[in-house]
Amino acid sequence: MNILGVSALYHDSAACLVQDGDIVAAAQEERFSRKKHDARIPINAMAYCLREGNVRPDDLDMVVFYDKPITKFTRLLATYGEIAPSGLAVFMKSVPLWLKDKAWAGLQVEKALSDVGFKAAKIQFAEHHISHAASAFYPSPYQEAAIITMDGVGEWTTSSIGVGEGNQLRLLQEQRFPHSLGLLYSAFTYFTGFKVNSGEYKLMGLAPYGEPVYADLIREKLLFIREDGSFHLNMKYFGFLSELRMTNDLFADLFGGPARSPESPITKREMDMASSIQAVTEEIVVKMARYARSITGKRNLCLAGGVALNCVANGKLVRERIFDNVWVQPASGDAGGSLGSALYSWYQILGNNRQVDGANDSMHGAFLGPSFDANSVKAYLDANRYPYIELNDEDRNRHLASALADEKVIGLLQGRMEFGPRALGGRSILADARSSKMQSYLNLATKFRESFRPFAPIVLAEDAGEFFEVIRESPYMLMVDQVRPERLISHCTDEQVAETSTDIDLRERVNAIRSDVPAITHVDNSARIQTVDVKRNPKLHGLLTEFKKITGYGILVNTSFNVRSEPIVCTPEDAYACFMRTGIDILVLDNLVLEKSRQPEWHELTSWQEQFGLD
Amino acid sequence: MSVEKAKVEGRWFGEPLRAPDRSTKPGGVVRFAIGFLLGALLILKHHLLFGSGVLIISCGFALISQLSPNAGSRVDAALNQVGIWVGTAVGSTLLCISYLFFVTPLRLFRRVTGADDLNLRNNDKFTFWLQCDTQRRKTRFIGTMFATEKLTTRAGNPLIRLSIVVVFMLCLAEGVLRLQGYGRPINYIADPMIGYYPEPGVSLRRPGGTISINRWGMRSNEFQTEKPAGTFRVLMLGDSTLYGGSYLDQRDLYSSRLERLLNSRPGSPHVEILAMSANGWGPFHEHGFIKRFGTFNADLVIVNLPIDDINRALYGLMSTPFSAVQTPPRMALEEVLIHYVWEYRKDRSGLDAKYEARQSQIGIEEYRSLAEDLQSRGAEVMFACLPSRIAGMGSQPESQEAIWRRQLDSALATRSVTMSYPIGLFVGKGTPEQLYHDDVHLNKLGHKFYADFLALRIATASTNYQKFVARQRGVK
Repeated sequence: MNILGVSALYHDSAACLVQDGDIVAAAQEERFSRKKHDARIPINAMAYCLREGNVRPDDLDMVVFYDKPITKFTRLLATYGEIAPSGLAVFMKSVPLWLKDKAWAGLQVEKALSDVGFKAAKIQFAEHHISHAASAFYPSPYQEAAIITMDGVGEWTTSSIGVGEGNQLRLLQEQRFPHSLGLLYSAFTYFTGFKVNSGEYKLMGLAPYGEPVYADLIREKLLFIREDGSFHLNMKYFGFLSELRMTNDLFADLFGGPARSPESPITKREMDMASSIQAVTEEIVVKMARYARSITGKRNLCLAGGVALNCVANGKLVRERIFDNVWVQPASGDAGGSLGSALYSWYQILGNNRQVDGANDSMHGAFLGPSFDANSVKAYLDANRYPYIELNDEDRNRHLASALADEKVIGLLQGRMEFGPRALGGRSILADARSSKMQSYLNLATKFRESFRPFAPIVLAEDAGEFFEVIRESPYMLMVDQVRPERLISHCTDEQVAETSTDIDLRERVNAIRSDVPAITHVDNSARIQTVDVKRNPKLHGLLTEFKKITGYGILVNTSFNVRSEPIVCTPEDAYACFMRTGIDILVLDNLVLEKSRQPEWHELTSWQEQFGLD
Repeated sequence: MSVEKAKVEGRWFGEPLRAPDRSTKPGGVVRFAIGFLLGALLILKHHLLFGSGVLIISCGFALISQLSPNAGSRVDAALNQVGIWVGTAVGSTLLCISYLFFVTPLRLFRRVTGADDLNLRNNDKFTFWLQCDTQRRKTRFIGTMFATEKLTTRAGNPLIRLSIVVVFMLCLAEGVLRLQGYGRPINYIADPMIGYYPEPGVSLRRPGGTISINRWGMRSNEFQTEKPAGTFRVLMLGDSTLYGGSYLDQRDLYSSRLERLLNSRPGSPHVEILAMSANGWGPFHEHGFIKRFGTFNADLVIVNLPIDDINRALYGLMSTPFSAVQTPPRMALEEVLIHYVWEYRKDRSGLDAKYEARQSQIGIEEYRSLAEDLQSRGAEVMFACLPSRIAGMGSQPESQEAIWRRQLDSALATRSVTMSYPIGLFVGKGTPEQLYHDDVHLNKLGHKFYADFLALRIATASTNYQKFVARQRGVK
């Protein structure tokens, strides 16, 4: 039985194909359309999933949309019914958009399917947070678990606590719009000069540079937090109900001035605000988890929703040991809703049995996107006269490990593309974590992004304990942990760097050497870890092992294979373009290896900055 | 495209899947035809300037499209842009109006009623978690775009929901009925001699048209009590068949038509028709009216009846059968309810044959007495017996109708009364549905033909009318 899940029309549209309960394919539309956070109906992703599953036009049994547009629209109208006559500008902007486009999600999906030669069966509509909850619970390794979903807003729900047992899940309690942890975090994202629905992870990365000096102010003025993790936003300070901005003038007064303009220097205020909202977020998440444990009595926790991508909070949750096990959906954002809605239909609606072993999830390592056979890739390279060498796995790993040890940067396109925002070794840039210059080099010369942004490590699963304090398994790069103290070489670095107030100071702090793996050690000595095991990712495991043989370190820098604002590369062609635009030295297309120095001169009609803009 | 070429161009997944714009635009000729027709229509409707403008513009655009496809596309793009601007302006205006004049008052109303969908005002709760809906409902409604927990948690008791729906439907029905004119009917005045008669001096619109009652309670124009010189006055007495019901406009009644017909004849004198009637009236009501108000110096009195009015000897004499002026219906629904209760009771309250026989004897006797009284007041009397649907549309009345008719004839035989009973009057003039509203009441078309018949009848059978006409011609 073929079930196609679709999420679209808000941000990160995606499609997912579930065949007899198995997640066969899933991909985000942005990877195909090359438009970051593409929210359009994911016609290319849908076509890919159906092709990957060899689904014939008559074999598509069910199509599920990940939320309920009309209910969402009624929430919008109810909001205007609470704020009118203010909010006229938002009303004038959003209502035509809804009437023209968003309210007709079902018809749009049907049309997209017909464009790719399929006639949709009756389209189903799962609720937004049900889709998130399903994406968290059903692929998890647990027979029973508590579920927490947190994001901006679905139809009405902003956070929910549920419970999953076997093939059934149910939501028990929820918080409703506008009292949203996701929107609170986005408000600070907006105020600190980053893009909403895109720059939240930058705010999270900025947090360790500051001190949580505003945390008490936030608790006192902006929201009322209860012991059970529920909270009430004081809407006096927020603009997202009635204005075309997230925060209002009162909010600015509270934090001593207007919002930071995008791309202007980051000051101590922004760092402290980031640190403060991160602290408050962690406090809420931990309280919610405690409450979820108390009302469900379960020992496992599954997380999804955009806020579940806050890996610092996730790491704290693990370290608090409220639950025995925590599993986070790697595509926790709206893209994952396509996967959740399809699985919900398979298990909950159709009542199929669910088998789990308690240890392994059913995400296939999140490698659910397209892969490319060697012959096609070679044909492409030959036709374009791009020189390459072909190596077997062993030689390739040896060659690459040696290059990495020489501080070369490698662009890696290997096997199927990842589903979700993280590059996990399918579409990654790899570099030596021991290099002291690597973080700055990668940020400024390779990724062309803000200097303060940290890089994450991939580490052999069996070696995780050598480098990090608590986390032993984090295959989807969704947990942050501290680097082991014995690896830190300078605890006083922060004190040496005075209270910073400019971007230059920020860079000094970034460049400070903190451990023997400085490229992945953030200013607070933390790291966002991805553990690599043989089962999920044998090729990457082989490369790390080879690198360890040469250097004694089973750890590398892993960052997504893209430049700033570009969606992660999908095809060999995308990878080649990114390789030639940036400071990447070696491009690896599975077993084909391309050296930058041997490539013909690269010309582009339009610059990538113009093509992708700034996120 | 070969596979290899596709790869070279980066078409790893075949052709790009952004569906092309499939909107089809009408060709130049079609657009010209539309413009031409519109322009011609406007000119025909006397919008000469506007119509000419449309014609010139459409011809111009058609010419440009035919001469240069490129220029044609530019014209298309420009028109498209203008369309977008106009559409945006209109849409924005409508949205703005609806927000300020509908959503804003709604917000104020909701605020007054304490509604707080967004939980903006209760920030001192012990917890802000809300209970989720049941699993069953989530599962049940996966197939719809609408399912919402909010509805369930707020809907409450099904009885309350049902009550809300019923109240809403009643309000809706009341509104629709009021728009139709219900809720303000003609009320009736109780009178010890007449029984009841329509409230005088009222004019109102009902679903069928206008109803105007003059100061005597007649559904006729106002008139001078003293008959003006040179006027032939006809007083018509009758029941609902003369009254016409609220489904007919005043101008469509046969009494109104008769007046217009008689006055439109070349050389005819001025004729004034006073139509005194009410629903449910019978001989006692009509005679009561004459006793109370007289004949207004009428030259001719036409007593209108379907034959079974002879059975209405005592109907409504003790009380007002419809809404009284003292207790009018306050709502449109109340009026409709009263009507249907009346219909129901009327159908259930038939007389037994023995009682009906006595009624008809008394009724016939009262008609005889009425005729005698009218004649004693100097009026010529004519009885116009409207055939029932069966008799009007066929060649034979029902047996009982024929018996009653004979009994009435014999009762009036000695009174020199002109009697008309036009069996088969409507044959060949339309279908029964076009002519009759029910078994006895006429439709608009029926009123027209019956007015023609009465006009001819008056002209040929009324001695007073003939004398009056002759006198008038002599005077001239």
